[in-house]
Amino acid sequence: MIVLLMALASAAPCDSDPIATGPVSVALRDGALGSGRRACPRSEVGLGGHALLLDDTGNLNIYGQIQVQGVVDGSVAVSDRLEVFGRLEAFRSQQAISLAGASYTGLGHTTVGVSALVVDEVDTHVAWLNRMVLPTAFGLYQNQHPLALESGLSAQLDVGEALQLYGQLSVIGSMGIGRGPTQMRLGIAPSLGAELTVKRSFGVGLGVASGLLYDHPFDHLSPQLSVRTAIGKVGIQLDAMLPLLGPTPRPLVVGQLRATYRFD
Amino acid sequence: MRRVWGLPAGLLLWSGCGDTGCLSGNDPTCTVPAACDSLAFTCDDGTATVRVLDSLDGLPLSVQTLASPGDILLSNDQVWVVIDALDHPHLFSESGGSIIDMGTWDGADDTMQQVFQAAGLLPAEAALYTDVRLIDDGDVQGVQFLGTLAGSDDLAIATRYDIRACEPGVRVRTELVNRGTVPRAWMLLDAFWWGGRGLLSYSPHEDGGFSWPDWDLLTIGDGFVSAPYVASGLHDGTGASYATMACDREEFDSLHSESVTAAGQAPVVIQPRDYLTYDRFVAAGTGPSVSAATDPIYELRRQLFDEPFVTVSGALRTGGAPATGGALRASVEIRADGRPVTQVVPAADGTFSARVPAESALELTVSSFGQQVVSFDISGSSSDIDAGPLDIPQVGALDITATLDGEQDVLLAFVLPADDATESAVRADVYGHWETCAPLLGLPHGSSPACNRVLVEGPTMVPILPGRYDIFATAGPFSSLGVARDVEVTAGGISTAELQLVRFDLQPEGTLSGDFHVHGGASWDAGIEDFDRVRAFLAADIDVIVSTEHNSAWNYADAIDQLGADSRIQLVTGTENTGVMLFDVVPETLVPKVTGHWNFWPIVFDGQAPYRGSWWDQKALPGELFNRASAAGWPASTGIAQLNHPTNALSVGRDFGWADTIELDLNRDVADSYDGTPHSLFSDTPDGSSMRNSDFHTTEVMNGTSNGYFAGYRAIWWWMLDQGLLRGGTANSDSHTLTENVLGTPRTLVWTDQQVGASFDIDRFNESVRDGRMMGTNGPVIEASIVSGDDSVRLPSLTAFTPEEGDVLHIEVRAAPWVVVSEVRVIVNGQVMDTFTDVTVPSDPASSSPADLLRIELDVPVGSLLPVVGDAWISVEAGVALPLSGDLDCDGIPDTGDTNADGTVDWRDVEGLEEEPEEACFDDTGPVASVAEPDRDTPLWFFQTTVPDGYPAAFTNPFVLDLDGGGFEGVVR
Repeated sequence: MIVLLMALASAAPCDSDPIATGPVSVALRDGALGSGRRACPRSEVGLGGHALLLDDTGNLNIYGQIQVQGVVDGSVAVSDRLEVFGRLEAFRSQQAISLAGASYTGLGHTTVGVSALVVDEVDTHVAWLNRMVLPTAFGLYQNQHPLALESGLSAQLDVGEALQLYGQLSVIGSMGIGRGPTQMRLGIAPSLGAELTVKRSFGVGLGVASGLLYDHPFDHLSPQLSVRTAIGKVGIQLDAMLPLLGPTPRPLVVGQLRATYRFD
Repeated sequence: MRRVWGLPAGLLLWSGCGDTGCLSGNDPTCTVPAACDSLAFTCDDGTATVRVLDSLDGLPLSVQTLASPGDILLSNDQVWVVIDALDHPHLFSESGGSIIDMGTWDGADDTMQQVFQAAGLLPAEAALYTDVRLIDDGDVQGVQFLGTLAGSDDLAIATRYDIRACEPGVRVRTELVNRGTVPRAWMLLDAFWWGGRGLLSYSPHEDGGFSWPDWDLLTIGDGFVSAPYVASGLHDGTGASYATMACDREEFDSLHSESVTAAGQAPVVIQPRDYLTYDRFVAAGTGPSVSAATDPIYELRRQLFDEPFVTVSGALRTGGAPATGGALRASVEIRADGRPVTQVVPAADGTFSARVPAESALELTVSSFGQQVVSFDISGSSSDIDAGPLDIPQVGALDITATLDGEQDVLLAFVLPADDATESAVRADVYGHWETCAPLLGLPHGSSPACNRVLVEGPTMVPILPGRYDIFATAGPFSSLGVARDVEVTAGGISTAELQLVRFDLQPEGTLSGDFHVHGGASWDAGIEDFDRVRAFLAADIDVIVSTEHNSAWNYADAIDQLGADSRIQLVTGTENTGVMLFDVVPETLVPKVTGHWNFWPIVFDGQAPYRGSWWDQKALPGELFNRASAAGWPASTGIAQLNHPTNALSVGRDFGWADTIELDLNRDVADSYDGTPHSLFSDTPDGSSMRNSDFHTTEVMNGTSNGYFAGYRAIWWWMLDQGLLRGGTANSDSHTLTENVLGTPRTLVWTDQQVGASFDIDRFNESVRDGRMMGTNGPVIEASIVSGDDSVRLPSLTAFTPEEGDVLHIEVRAAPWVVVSEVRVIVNGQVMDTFTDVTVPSDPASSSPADLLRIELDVPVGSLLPVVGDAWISVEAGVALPLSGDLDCDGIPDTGDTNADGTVDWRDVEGLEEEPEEACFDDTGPVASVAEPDRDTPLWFFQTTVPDGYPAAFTNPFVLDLDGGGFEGVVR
């Protein structure tokens, strides 16, 4: 079956197909910190919805979280090797559930970043990835404002025209700004995955993401799934992440539905 | 906008720039900054100190003071405040660090129950302080507590209390930091616990005042209002009133009920690393007026927010004389520009004054006896306003005298409307709160007069609205009623009512009457002063009273001495362990609960000790409570542990009854140990405890004057007896004040060799109680005995015996003429075996003749009652037929009455059910059965004149029969 699919497959990932490429990009952390990102530069705009569900109710405790975000993102391939990108949670609705719960609706976080291909061989692409998450969810913060940074490498290995393997290893860090706790946190966000594309218009991505040393010595281990397609120049992707292992409370599921329009 | 600019400001302050107090959340050496820093009060000779109490000497203690050595005292020239120590916390605070007392130096006016900090409603969101440090900063004296929320070490909380010279209260700052990894829903609140029958919350929001939105634990968000301050007052006696306001914002959030005021920050999302702070001032002023506490608040607001105020004053007159008569005779609520701002009770000369916002149109509304009687509009002004004399309508007065056996004594009189016109004209409540009374003579839960009740001792004058009244006086169930019918009261006139009562020879020889569940002002849900409480003891004509204050103890010594009551009453100090702090009663459960209420007696009152001789009684299963009690000196081998009101309603999310907590299922047998079901906790032995949860000695079979839960209580008691768990059944009033229950109604008669007085031996008395030599009653007196052929007589007792051939159950039932007895029931092994209705009916319920006391006398062969196999127990009941009730949740405990009076108990009787549930066993049940309201002048109406909403009932403890000679081991079910 795989051989058959590979036989039907088409273009390499750094070409100009509108279908999404790269690792599963659903984000566990605010501002997509530590989430998977493709190595190949491209120019596109995206519009999507992001959701997170957490339930830690039990044994005298009622706790949960529901987050829904409307996200606008975009990237510009400044050159064949350099891309700048941004992500804005234009709408963020967050409900913290307890016996007396609370909610927030308003602007969310903003992420800006740059990635540069440092290895660009025929079958191998490695990008140096950098992100900064800015505290623009102004109504969400009562007093203390978070700032987060990420730097890492995102690699892509083309096994064939239809199958790519991905790996990403980032160092993520964050801190609080204000009179409250700075609580500098540093951790590692590794992920591995593969994507199989069919006829340049349908793809399936599988992956596993993890986190180490950030909130806990072992933060989480999360299988990921992405289903991707393209209609004309519009790419559509549905991503999900299931944090199966790790200390609680941790989300039950994180997902996103995203549409992109590619310019180049 | 503030938060947008907060970002650059925060950047500047990043990494420790500026005073970050304890906002890092993990610095044990930090100091919380002082709150309300821009305030400044000056006075001559002002002082301020903080110290750890080593004794209570010098403090103006009140009955509600909880302070003990080890607690922290903050005091200045104006007020004193006590914060409880870490090692003896109170009520809702697991770790101390809460305000438990606050008063002025004007008198023993501490009416504060507790102020504690909370971030939410769950146990994990309660503050758990672990560190305390006194702060001596010259003019600023304070104490700070550091800790975490109970659920996580990452959720840090710090609270600092400050006092400075000349200030009418205490400054408080709390910092709450989320050092965890996930967002939280937090509200940062001070919860002022009033207890439900004391101070009344007041909020100056639109349409507010003494009115607030309804809410419950699941709809708490609906209850929040925004206001510049909140206050409380309108209580009885000489206590203080309180107010609080935020210093760091012009308005804050609050929610209110009769039990609690919570003020601070409504729930918000708190992201990791984020924090909340709350700076506030808590003020106290003496007296029942809300304005006593809001007056200082206006000065604070002038300083902090440039809000000018003026003082409005006036004098209420009625019939040309000052309007006097207490908090209910005249209460003036003041609105400014349509918004309620304060309330004031005129002084004895009718004068009043209160601070209000300047330049605001004022409306003064005067309420008298719960009814709005007149309003006055006053133009706004920038200077103080003298409203001059203000006339309110005249009322009349009732001069009541009553005698018992021709002698002046303390008696309890009930004033009732004599006709429907008066009923509708005088029915009222207190700003929509507490009981509705007709007439409303005084605050329902204060001292006499309260609601429609008056303690009469010699000529007793009470102001009252004009109308026609019936007056009934009682000296308990074993005396006649004192009756004065159709007394007309006119405006400005004084009418008299003279009542004579006689004591009947009803109490069996060799018995003492007891009420083993009685509260007073030392309980957080009672507002009555000791003097009137002891007068109520006397009026009940009862022998033994066990004082069982919630979570504390009290002995009424001064009032008993003052009234010379010790020769007539045997007061036994006990305590009611009252679960208020939710915890995992049932292992691995989602829903936190409490273990209900448990009485213990005797204990040794200690006026200096924490809990006054009781013990920390939270977060403990019954077996653990028994151990704690024993460790605190309660004599486990001779004392009594009593299961109170085993099933009842929820109150503030807490189960009143242990059976409800563990979902006791009477269709199941008792389990020896916990088997994973809540039911099995009934007789489990908690970890670390040497006693079982079932190692109590008595259970309440009757509780409360209305007797509403009798069917449920007796079902649980009978189940215990069936199971071989022999526990005595008691009947107690659970009276807190003059209003909600009548002290001594019901009561327990104990067959004992003890007498009231110096020789009274509590151990010997309790021996009878533990052995079940008792009956319970609110009127009928059952003398039941098993008589053998050799004329030997056995009275009810938990000591098993083997009956002999030919033994006879002899029953005599007597009652005062006003007590209706229509049937006698014989119960065997939880089944009514015989009902006898050939009962004498007195011709005149108001009679004082002893002629018709004996209602029935009969003999029943014991052999005709016994089961074919197994052991047996026999109990006798008397009174009226029980109101119809049903068990709709299928646990064997009657839970619902025939509320729609259609002759059946089904889903249509359940409050709130709109359609029949699909399940055979309902989740929702109730209300419990009650008797239909009787027509005026019927026999039951006479009974209810002094036993409100009640119906006559009495029961004996069982005769326990060992039929097989192997000891009583329960019955075959």
